[in-house]
Amino acid sequence: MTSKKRWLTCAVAAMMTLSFAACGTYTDSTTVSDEPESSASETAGSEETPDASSAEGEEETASGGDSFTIVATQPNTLNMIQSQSNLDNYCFYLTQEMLFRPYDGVYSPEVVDTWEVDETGTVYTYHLKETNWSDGTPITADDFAYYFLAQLDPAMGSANATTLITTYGFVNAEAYYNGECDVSEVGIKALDDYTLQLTLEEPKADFDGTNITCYPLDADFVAEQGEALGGTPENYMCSGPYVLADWTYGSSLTYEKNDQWLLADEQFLVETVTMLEATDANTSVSMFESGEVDAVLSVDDDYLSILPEENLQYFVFNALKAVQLNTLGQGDAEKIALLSNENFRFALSYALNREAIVAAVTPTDTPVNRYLFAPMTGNSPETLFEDDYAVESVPLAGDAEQAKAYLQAALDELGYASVDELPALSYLTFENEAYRLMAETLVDQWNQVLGLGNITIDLKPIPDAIQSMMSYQYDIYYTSLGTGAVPSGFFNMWITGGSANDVAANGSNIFSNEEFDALVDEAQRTMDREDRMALYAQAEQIMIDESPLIPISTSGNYAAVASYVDGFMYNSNDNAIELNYLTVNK
Amino acid sequence: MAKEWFLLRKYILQRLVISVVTLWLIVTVCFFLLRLLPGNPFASTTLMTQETLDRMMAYYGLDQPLWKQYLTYMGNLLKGDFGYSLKYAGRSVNYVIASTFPVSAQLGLQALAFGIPTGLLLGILAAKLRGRAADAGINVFVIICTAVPTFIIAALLQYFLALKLELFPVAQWKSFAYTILPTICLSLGTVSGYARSMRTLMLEVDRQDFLKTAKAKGLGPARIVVFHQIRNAIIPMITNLGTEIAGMLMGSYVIEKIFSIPGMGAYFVDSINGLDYTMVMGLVIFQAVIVIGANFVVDLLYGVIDPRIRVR
Amino acid sequence: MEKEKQLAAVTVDPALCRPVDRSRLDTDQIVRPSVSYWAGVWRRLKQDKLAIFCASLLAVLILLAIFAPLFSPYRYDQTDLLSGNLPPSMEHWFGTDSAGRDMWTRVWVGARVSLAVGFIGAILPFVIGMFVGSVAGWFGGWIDMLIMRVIDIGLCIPSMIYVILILVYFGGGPQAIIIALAVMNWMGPARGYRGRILQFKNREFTLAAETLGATPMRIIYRHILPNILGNIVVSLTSFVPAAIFMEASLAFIGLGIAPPMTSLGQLASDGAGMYRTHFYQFIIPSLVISLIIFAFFMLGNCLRDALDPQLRDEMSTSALRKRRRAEQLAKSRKGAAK
Repeated sequence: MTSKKRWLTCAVAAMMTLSFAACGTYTDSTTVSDEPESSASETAGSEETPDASSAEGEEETASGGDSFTIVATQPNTLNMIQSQSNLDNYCFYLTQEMLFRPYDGVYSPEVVDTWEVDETGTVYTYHLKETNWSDGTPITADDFAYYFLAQLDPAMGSANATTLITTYGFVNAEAYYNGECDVSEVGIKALDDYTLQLTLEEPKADFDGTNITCYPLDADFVAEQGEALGGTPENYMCSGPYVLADWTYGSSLTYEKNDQWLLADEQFLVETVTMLEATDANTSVSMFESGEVDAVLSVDDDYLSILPEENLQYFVFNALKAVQLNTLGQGDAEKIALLSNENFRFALSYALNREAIVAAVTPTDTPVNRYLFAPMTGNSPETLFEDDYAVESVPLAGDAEQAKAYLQAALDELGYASVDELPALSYLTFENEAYRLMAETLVDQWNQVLGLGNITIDLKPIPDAIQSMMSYQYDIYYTSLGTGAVPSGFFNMWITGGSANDVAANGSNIFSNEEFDALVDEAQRTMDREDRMALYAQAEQIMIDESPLIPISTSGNYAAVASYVDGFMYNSNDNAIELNYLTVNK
Repeated sequence: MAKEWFLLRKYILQRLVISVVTLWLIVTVCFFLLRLLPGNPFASTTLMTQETLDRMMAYYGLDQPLWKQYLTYMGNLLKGDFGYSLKYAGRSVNYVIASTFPVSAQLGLQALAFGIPTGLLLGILAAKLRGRAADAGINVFVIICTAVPTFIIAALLQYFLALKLELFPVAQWKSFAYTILPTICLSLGTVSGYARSMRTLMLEVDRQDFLKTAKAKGLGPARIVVFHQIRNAIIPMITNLGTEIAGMLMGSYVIEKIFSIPGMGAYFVDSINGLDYTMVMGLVIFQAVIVIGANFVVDLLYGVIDPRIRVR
Repeated sequence: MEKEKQLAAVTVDPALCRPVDRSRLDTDQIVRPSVSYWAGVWRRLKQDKLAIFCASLLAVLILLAIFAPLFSPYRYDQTDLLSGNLPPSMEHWFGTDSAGRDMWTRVWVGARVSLAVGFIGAILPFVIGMFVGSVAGWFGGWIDMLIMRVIDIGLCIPSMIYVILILVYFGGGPQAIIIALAVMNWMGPARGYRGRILQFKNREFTLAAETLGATPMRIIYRHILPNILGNIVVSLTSFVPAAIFMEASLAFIGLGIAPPMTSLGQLASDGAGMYRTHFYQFIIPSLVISLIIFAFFMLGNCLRDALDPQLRDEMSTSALRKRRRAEQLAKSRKGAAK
């Protein structure tokens, strides 16, 4: 018996060594780069020996540290034309030059040397510095112009054209996008190699000439790459603070410092930045605790209590989570009457104790009773819009009595004897743990407070759920909406024909109010900041009273940052992980 | 002998033709099934109007009639071109497979190389020591492996072995040391499955006549166990081996996610969830080739190991 | 030593040997009562203490799943936002989740779904697979070829695709999930069962039955099936946990049971994120799943012993244990006597 056992054990061992000998799929492209990195992270774990590694850093004068490793979700694509995700922008921000680079919401000139605007407030002329791509070829004004023109090109199938058109309203941009005019007629022109001119159809109060995100994009390179554009580092041109050295799908992105960059001596001093993909919340936190990474961009709710408070940094996201009622009622007259009934909507809104719900379900969010919350460029830098301009809305803690009164009023108006007679409603939401819990909580709260027992939850995968929403196959929809960096971004979605309002683009608005439309329009032309904000506040009040959008919370995010890291910054208005002034002192 | 070789060649040729037809059927069925799924591949959480969506559909040629899209796809496929992902612009499906498959395959092979022998060994031990403490211990181990979901075992092992005891790195895919923990986690299912089946099959074989014959011939117990009992017990397990190997090579969503491994597993789930048609098709075809190939080899092996089932 | 002893035993006094009284040797005498196969199975199962224990454990779990939510003062979907994440206490025996829902009620409501899905969702695909597999294995030729190709195709198309399709057309209820599991899982057993049939098809007893003119169905179900039923039961009982987990992973990608209904798999995967902060939310559903699976698993082992016609009482695991215990007892008595 024993001999047999030994024989089998040997066989197992032999088979293991055989298969393990065949290796070489590891993600490190160079073993050299692996060595200092792993040893550095080991010393980071043990706090007793900080001297050893900091000694290496002292050799260089303006050093931000050798390496910074952060857990963050990978970009979908580096194709700037097709890109729709802020994840992509994290990478663009690190690897491209910009006309103006935002840092914590403030745009400062980078490639732009000087710029002027004419007296009509519509023609912006930018004089650019001489700069190069990372391979040494010069970047011209054409490259910056092409960044916009490519997104507007109807043949490119970009999803960003509509936003560009509504936000800036370049001359003939819409006509070009609809194939009605030639590219040369669009108000985005390179006058010469170092002069870029943007012409707007009318002055945009929210655009001050600097708050525009513009990267260079080489038209020839785009044509040459075709479909392969932005898929790998080889199919992507860098010009910014870092060069994308390696991208292993599902694992890591490695950025190496670009010494050719304009401000290479002043900003982005860390030599190597690694972004690790860790889709699992538990793994991200464990890697942070073990010292394998220096930061985690987004810590899951469940793990906040595990990490020391001094390592957590809170960032507000410019996203509003809200319940949206389908006032078109899927064509059913009874539902149309119910879902567009103001008292019924107030009943749903007042029944919710937002403070308790958010604390229980999405503790990183902030409960809100209005739409604009995140710090915005249009507002004064010190204060929040919501602090300066009060609106009347539901109390954050809800009001059950008031809710019942509203419901009774709604029942009386609509001619129902009791709440049980109301038609069955469906609540559409995404297949996602947080969204499911929110759905279960909201539906049960409405049941407990109002006795509404006939709401069913319709859980769907994202493409399916969005398609259902866009074809109005829902009664109640829980949504997350980007509120944008300026108030007009959000309100423009809700004017008659707006992109969130009339998603099918066929005139089926779920909210239409002429006064609101007029206020938003007027505000966008009002150059005086305070007057403009007051108009937006009025518009917001109308939306709170009239629109079928019931605000619940704004998204927030906790980042975990090691104590030896200084100057970590994330800003959701800029859509960027801003490592401009980051130093790693380990 | 020569006749046998001729028959074998004919058999292989036949199988080859059948395999190609099977593959074509898989491609076709999958292509049309995918289009039955509800939703729009470009509908993401970023708000878009229907008009924008339609333009994107047109850009990727998805507004064409279905049969035309099918012909285009088959044409490209014959050239070996799986096309580009719809979700991740610029990412060619060929490149994704080429870069992620080696990782998943290495992990899968390691797990199989560790899991199958370990499982068989445990099964044999349990059968030989039936009713004793070792048997009970192996049973308990098998129960734990079956009863506790992989993601829980993996998370716990990661927490205790990597974070608390610092025996292994927590995650990533950098060197052999990084592969040990995921290999063990991935192989647990194989170990418990093989241990359990092996125990049962060993007991079944235990009472068959050829063992009595072998004993009567005066063979030593070790020889009987190794050459007769184990060999016969293994046969039924080979049936699903092809599918199993192929499955392991294709990567595991859960393990890859927990250990941040750049493998294929995540693409299977995410691409179907996100309706990334080209990516799903590419992965399915690639998987099909591997499964069909593995099954073919296994069927050949079947005849070699069990003389009672001959190639006809 | 051993050999000498044997030799000593061989040299026997011839006087002790005498012819057997043939009249006392009735070859037709029935030593055991003649019982049908299934009665034998039942008799053997009844005697197995472990089987009884597992069956009663399963019965307790099923009873809890049926009755615990009925007698609970809380609804399974009743949120109480101010008492979220409470550890187990007298009010909430299993604590509460983050939305303040009573875990005791939720766990047993979830167990209903998991038991139903696990049990039916495991048996249904198995029965289908067995039928198809035996047809393929027995008849061979083009039928086999056709069925195996269908399986090849089916196994190569990711199950998620047709699961989504089934759930779209049948809705998100337990029935749809069971259908989805059946469609997903019949192919593995079919392939395996075909292999077993092939293995037994050329055996002597099958050939004998065939020569005697038995129909294929009869041969399969009377002669081959009992031989491999043990193995099938073992895989079937390991299919139950697989089905329970498959439901959980379907839930994970949004294709599981429709909310607010829940299942053990879903509770466990929701709790998995909490194992460092609220350990009970993770361990309680996991433990209940483990108990269910343990019961099925051990019952499967016992059934295997009971079902096997060639396995006589003296060969079964429980009998083996009994005999060994008796031997040990005898030994210790001997030791005590010395």
